[in-house]
Amino acid sequence: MKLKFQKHKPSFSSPFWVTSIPFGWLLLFFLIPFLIVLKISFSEFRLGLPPYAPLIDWAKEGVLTIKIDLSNYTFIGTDFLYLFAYVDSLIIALLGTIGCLGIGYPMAYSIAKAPPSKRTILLMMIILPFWTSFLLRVYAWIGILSPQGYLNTILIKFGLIRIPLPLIDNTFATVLGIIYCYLPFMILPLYSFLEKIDHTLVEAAYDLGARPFQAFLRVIWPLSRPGVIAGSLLVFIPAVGEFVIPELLGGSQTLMIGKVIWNEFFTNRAWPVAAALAIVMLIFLTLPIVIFQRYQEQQMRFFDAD
Amino acid sequence: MPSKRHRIDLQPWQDPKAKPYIHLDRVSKEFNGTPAIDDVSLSIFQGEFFSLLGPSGCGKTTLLRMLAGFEKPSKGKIYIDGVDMTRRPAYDRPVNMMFQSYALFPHMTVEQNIAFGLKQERISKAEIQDRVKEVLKLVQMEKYNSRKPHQLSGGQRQRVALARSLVKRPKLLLLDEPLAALDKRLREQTQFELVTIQEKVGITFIMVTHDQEEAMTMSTRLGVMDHGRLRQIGTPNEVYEYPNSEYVADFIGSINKFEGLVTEVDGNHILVDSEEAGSTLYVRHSAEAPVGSHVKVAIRPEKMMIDHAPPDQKRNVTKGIVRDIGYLGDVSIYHVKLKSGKIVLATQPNLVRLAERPVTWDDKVFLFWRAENSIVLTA
Repeated sequence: MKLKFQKHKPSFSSPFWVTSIPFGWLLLFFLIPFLIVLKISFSEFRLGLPPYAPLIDWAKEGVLTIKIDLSNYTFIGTDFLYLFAYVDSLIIALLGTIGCLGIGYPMAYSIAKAPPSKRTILLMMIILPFWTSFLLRVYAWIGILSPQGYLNTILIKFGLIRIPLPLIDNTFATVLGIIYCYLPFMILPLYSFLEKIDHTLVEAAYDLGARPFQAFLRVIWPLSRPGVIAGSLLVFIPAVGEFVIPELLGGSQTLMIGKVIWNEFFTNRAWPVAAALAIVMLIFLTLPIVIFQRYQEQQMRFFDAD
Repeated sequence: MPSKRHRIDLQPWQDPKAKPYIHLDRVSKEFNGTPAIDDVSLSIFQGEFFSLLGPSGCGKTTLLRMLAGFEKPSKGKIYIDGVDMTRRPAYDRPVNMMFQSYALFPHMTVEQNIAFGLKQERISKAEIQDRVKEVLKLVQMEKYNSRKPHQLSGGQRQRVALARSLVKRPKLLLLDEPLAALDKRLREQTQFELVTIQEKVGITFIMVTHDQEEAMTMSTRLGVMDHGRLRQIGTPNEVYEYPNSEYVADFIGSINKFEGLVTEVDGNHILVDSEEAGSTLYVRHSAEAPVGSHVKVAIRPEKMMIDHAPPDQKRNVTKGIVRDIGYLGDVSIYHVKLKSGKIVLATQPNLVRLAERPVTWDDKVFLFWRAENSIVLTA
């Protein structure tokens, strides 16, 4: 997620070659596929293989024709389904991010405060679930949340409820799934910033009369803000386009843009519309990335200075 | 040297009726069973500039942190202005600390850093502004009020840290190695300023330092610490001229020591026969040192006189060969090897230029001193 741009003209010394490796990687696996998607989004739909018309064509008389079809984009605007899908995606991703922050911040803080020998183990425990398949972990939630699942069974057994709670196939389950799956992406950057905070700053705050909560509010929180922003974006951005979690846990009533794009691609074979949807989503997401980038640069300045 | 005349004229520690402002009563501190502070009692008076001096790991910082409220004593009590502060948390003490790292908040400007403590007190905005301005003026940093800490030099950060800890007008200001991060020239200059500021604001200062020169220059009194114990408390002059133990004598400045046997007690003086010195030493001593006991007689290098010609005195004289001369510009340190093999240091001011120096390498010289300039170390 760290998009770093060089500020100086690269010279042909070793640093250039070192940076050229990640740049080459991004070019090959990010920029080129992106251009392909962009190209498809401007193509005309047709029945055939591939299911879109070429953008650039040599007509019979040797005339080069470039056909840019904007109808895919205008089509998105006409159908409210897409707008709702975008808005729902943003809301669900936002709820997931807030949930991750609420759970992740105290966890990251307590890990950063733990004695150094224990931190590695605690971080390991955060990462450990990732060693099982992502899909499997989401399926496991079906086992927990479904009407005959563990949670409902237990609640009924203890007589707390009589009919199973609707825990699955809704927005709640989707948000829960997102929080569960993306929590480490929140905790790790938060931890790295919280761990960097010099404890004498907190002592200085106490010394100047701040009670623990005020010291947190006025010193720890502002200093951990870059971590909050980094973690939130790491959760928010992929969560907006999430497909697997709403597909498995969200049921039919949850309409996230990832699912819509999937449907357009595979069910309707409407590649150009799907591509246009993806491009619009990207534009939606560029804004937070730009904000993050600006913030990070600003932070770099004051952390580098020391 | 900053003048101490304007400060504590009365020397309250001499007055048995004076009430101490800060009082440590048999304070001990253990960390996981290891003692860091071992039964320390200490009284400090209002307006004092007290230094805790000692090597790293001697417990001086732990003592300071207990005064600040960051550590709780395992045993004993701490009183500030007559109030028991032993169990009070740091944010509830009329004490402020200047941290060694300065601990300035990196996300705040100089002004915000200084105002931090005042905002905690719910003082009106106008008053906060006035007090911040006043203290910035005191440390001569008015122009830098809107800078962030990373835009300041080491010396400027030090001033901001001082201003931040002074602005709350604490009853006691703690300074943890306040000058350690500055280069030598700036350090010397800042020593004076710190003393001047302390005189102006009249707040009691307790400073922790490992630099004996710093402690000597700035303090009204100092305490020498070793392994969690206070070895000696006194004015810089007392501690330097009359160290109560070999440890203190060695820690502050350098000193020549001669082992010997007491052969005669003559009123409040004793005669010591020292093989190491190769002569009879005559030294004032009031404490118990009966004939036949072993003692150490100590003389500071600058109290040693050095000459080719034998002096008039019979006692407190020894001779040797100049093995080395350390030239420091203003003074030279002569390393003289005695017959016993002991190396004795003698410091002489360089009254003439180097080339005209009367005593030089491999010269046979006499070393001698006045009886009142030597002391007996018993501990």
